[in-house]
Amino acid sequence: MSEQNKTRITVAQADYSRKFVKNIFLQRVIFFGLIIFIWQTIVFFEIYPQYLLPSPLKVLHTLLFGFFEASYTQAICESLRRVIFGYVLASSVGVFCGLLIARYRFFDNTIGASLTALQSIPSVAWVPLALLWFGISEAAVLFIVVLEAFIPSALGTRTGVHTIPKEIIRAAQALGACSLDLYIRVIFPSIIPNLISSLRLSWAFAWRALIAGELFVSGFGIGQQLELARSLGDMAQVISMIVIIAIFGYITDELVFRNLEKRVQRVWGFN
Amino acid sequence: MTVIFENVSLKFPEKNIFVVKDINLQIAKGEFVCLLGPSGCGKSSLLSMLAGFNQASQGHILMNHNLVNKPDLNRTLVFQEYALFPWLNVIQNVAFGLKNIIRNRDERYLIASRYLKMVGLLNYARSQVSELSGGMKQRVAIARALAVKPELLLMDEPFGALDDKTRLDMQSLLIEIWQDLKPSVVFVTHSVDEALLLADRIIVMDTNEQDANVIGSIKTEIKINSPRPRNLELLEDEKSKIKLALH
Repeated sequence: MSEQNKTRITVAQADYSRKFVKNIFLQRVIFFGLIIFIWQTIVFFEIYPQYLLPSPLKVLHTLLFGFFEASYTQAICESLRRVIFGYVLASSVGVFCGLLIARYRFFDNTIGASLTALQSIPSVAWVPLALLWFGISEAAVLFIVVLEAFIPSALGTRTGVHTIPKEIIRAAQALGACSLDLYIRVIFPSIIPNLISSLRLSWAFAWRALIAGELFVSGFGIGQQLELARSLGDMAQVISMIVIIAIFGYITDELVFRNLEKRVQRVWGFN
Repeated sequence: MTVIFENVSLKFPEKNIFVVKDINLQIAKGEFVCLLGPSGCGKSSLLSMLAGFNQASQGHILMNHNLVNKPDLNRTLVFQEYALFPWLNVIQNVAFGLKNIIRNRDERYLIASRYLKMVGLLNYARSQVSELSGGMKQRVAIARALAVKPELLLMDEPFGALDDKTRLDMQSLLIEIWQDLKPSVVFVTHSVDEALLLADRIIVMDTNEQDANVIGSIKTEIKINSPRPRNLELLEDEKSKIKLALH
């Protein structure tokens, strides 16, 4: 083989690897294909019993059948309704708290300090309290979701307000914006970049808290389906529920929040 | 219209140190005044008191016989860092201050586009602020400050962040617009040349060495009568007077 041909081949190889790095879809297919392959191999050699580790095909079958049977779809809709309601409530409370904390020293010293403490409490820890206060009810789950999800919004709002350049506020004041007008037309839009990232975090927190709440408190939904599957010893359903939770979290994050973040970054001229 | 500073002092709270003390000044209608001095001599403090953001600890500032104690549409600002609103496009930025004056949106945009034309950015009306260069951003800021027809334009080192060429362009643009609209201008700068090119009157400030309790004070005032556009070489006398006052 001539020297020239050799270089041509290495160039072609480099080209392939560059294309591979760019082709995210292909990378993911290979990665997940590999995981499923290993999984299938373990099942094939019966390292674990079938009732503890069902085959990928069985899980897929359970998943599709569950959707076909409509019980999954119903559970997902119920959970979504609950989490969206809780999330909207939590982020409104969070933003309001954040604005209060940022505006008044007193609230920063009191609420602001307790936020950091609250943040360290995992949502499951609220379950006994929620059960005793609200019983086995929708309110108990919502309580857990709101308590968990309002914290990132509040902290993000505070940081957002604190990082507004002084000149922006002054320019607006000189141009006639004062009190409420200033909040609506300047302070609120100013914190949007901070707010989007914290709303994204709030959503992730809400979703986790929801599953924890449904799992322990019950109420028809994904968490309860998971608990049901456990008590029936139906491992295929346990895994398919976990897959559903992961996929839903991923889809909302990628479709809603990533897009919003990108748009904001473009308008604000970051990156 | 005149602005009058009467024995104005600004004190640090709870300390016996003055940023400036017993300032007496007058600014006439349509006059272009430069506050010139090194950083930390109190010129920006004077400007922010004049804008109404800080209250004088002693004495008072009057504008049209009214006490200056809060921000007002009649005194708008241009900052070194532009301070444009990134979530609004160019024309929305310029129209921002008109919101509380004019109800009709089309009318607001009509006025805003007139000022955009004045600064040569009519073609960028729908652009995002982040797409503009520094000089263009500062043009938008000037248009935004002027669109509400203030009697007094306050500029805090507005061209400090720009490169030399853009800076010269902006200076002549500013003079052009000022001669056209004739607002009073208070222009803070630390560049002697810039003050000489622009001002009717230069107020030279410096850090205070005589009194340890006062940080900055006015050293001298210099009137510049030569017509614009000016040639710096013909202003050597004034320049040496300023240099003298600063030492």
